[in-house]
Amino acid sequence: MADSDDDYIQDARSATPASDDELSDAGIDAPRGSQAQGKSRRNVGQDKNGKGKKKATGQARWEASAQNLGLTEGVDGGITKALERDLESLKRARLKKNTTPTQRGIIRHLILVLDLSEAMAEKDFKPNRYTFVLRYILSYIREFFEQNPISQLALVGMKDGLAKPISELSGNPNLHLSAVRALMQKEGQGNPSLQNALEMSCAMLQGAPSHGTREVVIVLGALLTNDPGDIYTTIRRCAKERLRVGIMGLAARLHICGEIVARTNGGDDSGYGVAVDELGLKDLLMATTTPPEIRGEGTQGPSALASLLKMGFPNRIAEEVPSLCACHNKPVRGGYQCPQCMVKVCSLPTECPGCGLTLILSTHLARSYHHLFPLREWVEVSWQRAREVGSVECRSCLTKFPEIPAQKELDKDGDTTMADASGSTAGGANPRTPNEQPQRKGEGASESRRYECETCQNHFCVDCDVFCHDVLHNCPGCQSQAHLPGSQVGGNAADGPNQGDGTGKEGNPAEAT
Amino acid sequence: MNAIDGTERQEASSEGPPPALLVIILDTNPYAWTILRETITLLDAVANLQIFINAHLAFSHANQVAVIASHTDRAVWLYPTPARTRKNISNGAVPGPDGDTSISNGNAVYNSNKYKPFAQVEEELMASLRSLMSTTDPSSLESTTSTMMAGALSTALCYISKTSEAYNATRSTDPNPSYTYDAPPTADPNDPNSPLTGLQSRIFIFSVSTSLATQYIPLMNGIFAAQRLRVAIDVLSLNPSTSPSAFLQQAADATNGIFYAPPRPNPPNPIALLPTLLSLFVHDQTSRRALYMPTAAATSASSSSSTASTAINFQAACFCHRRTVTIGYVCSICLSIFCEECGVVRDGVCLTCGTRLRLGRYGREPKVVAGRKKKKRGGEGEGGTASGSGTPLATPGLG
Ligand SMILES: [Zn+2]
Ligand SMILES: [Zn+2]
Ligand SMILES: [Zn+2]
Ligand SMILES: [Zn+2]
Ligand SMILES: [Zn+2]
Ligand SMILES: [Zn+2]
Repeated sequence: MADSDDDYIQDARSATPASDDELSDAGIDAPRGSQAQGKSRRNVGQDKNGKGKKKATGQARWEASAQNLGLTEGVDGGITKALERDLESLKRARLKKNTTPTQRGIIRHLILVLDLSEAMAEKDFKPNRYTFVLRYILSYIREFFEQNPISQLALVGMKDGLAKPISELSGNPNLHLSAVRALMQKEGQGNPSLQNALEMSCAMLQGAPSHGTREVVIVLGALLTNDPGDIYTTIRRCAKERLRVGIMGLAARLHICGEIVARTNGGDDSGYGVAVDELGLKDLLMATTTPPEIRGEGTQGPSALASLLKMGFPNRIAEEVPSLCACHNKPVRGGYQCPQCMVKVCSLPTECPGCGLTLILSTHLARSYHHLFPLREWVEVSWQRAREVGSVECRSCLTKFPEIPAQKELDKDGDTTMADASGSTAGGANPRTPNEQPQRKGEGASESRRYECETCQNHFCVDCDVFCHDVLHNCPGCQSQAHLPGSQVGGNAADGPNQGDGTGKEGNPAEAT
Repeated sequence: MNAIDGTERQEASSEGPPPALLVIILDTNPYAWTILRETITLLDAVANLQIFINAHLAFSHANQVAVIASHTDRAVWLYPTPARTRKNISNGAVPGPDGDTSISNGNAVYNSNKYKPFAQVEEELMASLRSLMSTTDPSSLESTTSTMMAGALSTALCYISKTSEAYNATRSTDPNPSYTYDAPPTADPNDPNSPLTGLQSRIFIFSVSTSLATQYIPLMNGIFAAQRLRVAIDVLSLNPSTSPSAFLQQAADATNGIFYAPPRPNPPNPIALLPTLLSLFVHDQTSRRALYMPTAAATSASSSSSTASTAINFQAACFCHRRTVTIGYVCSICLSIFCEECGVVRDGVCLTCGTRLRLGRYGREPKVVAGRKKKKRGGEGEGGTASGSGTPLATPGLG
């Protein structure tokens, strides 16, 4: 590897014991990203005294991400085995760790500010920053509305020292998608201005109702801001307006960005991150699609902002002949009828053009329930535990697990297996005795390749673990058993408000009517 | 600056339609089958399903099938047979019909006159089903009369996710692991015309039970996951009630699947299950594009098709009384839905999350009138923007 990137490699090295030689010997087409270093990668960016030399890092980025993989030989000399386990811990590292139910701002108002300046022409992201970011924003928009169906988004671009609206505050993803697609034809020019962008965000969010969040997410490629006045006045105004700003840098850490984030988030600047590579940017951006926790601001608790919203749940109507919808005045066949004033609208969610009632489907609300009732983290399974349960295949996908070694072997080889695990997974297993019940949750790969749901005591493979926690938000085992061994009620997803409503009716026999 | 040509190389798919994975969820709720006994018995249904499965497998040698039973107290795999069931069967705990189903050793002797994949599915399916029935004791039936549909659906989705991941891994040399679930930058998952690649999966739910209200949240989670995986959920609902299951109807509607509830004649007479299966549900997504298929909306549940032809029940149920509401009150913190009579209205505390809620003029005015508040937004918007960028105009409300 080139000598010129020493400072870069140092970062990576501080996190993994891997050396250049090992990596090049391996000659493996390394997957992007790092193991367990979703964490450490971000730390590199957030490191206060991080090196400011990250400017022309054209080649360094991919080298660093290859470095981050930290290939090490397993004890048995098999690099594949170590690699497999690395991949497992990498997959698990990507799982969101927060499984405690917190109050989250589910009705969000978010302004996404994009840097469209000259600095975006840099080619350290493939093919260049401008194209990469915009292309990724397309999937970001979809993901955002997937996660936050009753929220609103607006896009603002920074270029030529100005802030220009790309799309207005709206809950319609197609509007934003087409606006971004139109931008793809252009190129970055001029300098960005953080102050103007913040001012504009303030103005756009001024009318947002108080029960919703007011968020600004800035993707900043440049290392400068071209402001017309004192940005600190603007920051104070943002803080007063309850704006919460998060910033994703593409190049290096800037003091002013840290200031903005800290001052608008009650002193907490964890919302400022610098993406070291492409995956890092995805991680940073994706983290903002999760609804933010509600914090008490000043003397107000979170509940001071809560209110009861009147909403309509319209029924779909069918028509033989098209009729005009009240929202666009276009003839459409079928639609939804406002239960309050009976006008027809063509799509949901929307606000009734007739009476102003918010019209949604119950499914839009249901989409957010997994934030409120998150699935418990599954734990790693020791060989001993696997033997106890005698699991041979994944409960949900029927993939065979590796065979459980004989009892004798377990006692003897316990230590070496452990050493293997701890050597290859950075966030992974500390040596522990085989008898010890797994204590740590969701930290790394499991030695037996099994992951256990503590509520239903079923064992799953790593892919199902990731899928269930990332996408499904159900435990297939818990949902499949009427009588759970682990706990009586359990903190699982089954324990939603529908069960907890106090009526105590379960599966009433009268359902047949 | 030189703009970069971002066009991606498209993989030429010249080998015909991609293989299809069909996961069948069979509702084996004994209560419901008892009610249905005049119409159809479980055994008949399974026999018909068997032909349906064979038809699916016959389309392409690469097609796959999996069957899950949604029972009253558990959801279990029927095919492929899980190890535990296999053990039960081989232990002789399960009586075979002819006493010779020895699938435990993996290479059972199949009838040589049968296409081997057909025979294999049939043997395993019947053995697992017998195992399921023989391990159902009366006490477990007493606790509930519902069915574990959410568990079966979750299991099916895990299986589909894993299988298609494995399938993609064998075919593509893409070094990027696919576990990020990122939408590919070019293909729009909501665009029905985007090219279909990879394993085409769908779920077929053979439903006989009625209400699934207690599983509302897990079922909804399952529906969203299916949307994400672009898995269609087809539903054949034979439930004896007058209204088809609202949740399954929503499931089919949200995933572009087919919902069909055959009309219930009175008095009940045997139904022609096989023609229904073969004419409606056997086509994979590729073929469906060329056919005029009934959607969840277009299928009339009852014969009075002209009026109720599409009304899908999207009504929400309030969390306090389970009453369906068309206008409800939603807690802005936890999104629980309440009707007007709920306690929340009286003492101002959300029943689910305990948050004290501002009631304000909740009853008279719609609470989310963003537009009204925005009117008083004045010139303060452009405070310090000296560089003269256009003042943004915040649009009131959505879209
Ligand atoms: Zn319209
Ligand atoms: Zn209205
Ligand atoms: Zn699995
Ligand atoms: Zn579980
Ligand atoms: Zn109520
Ligand atoms: Zn609440």
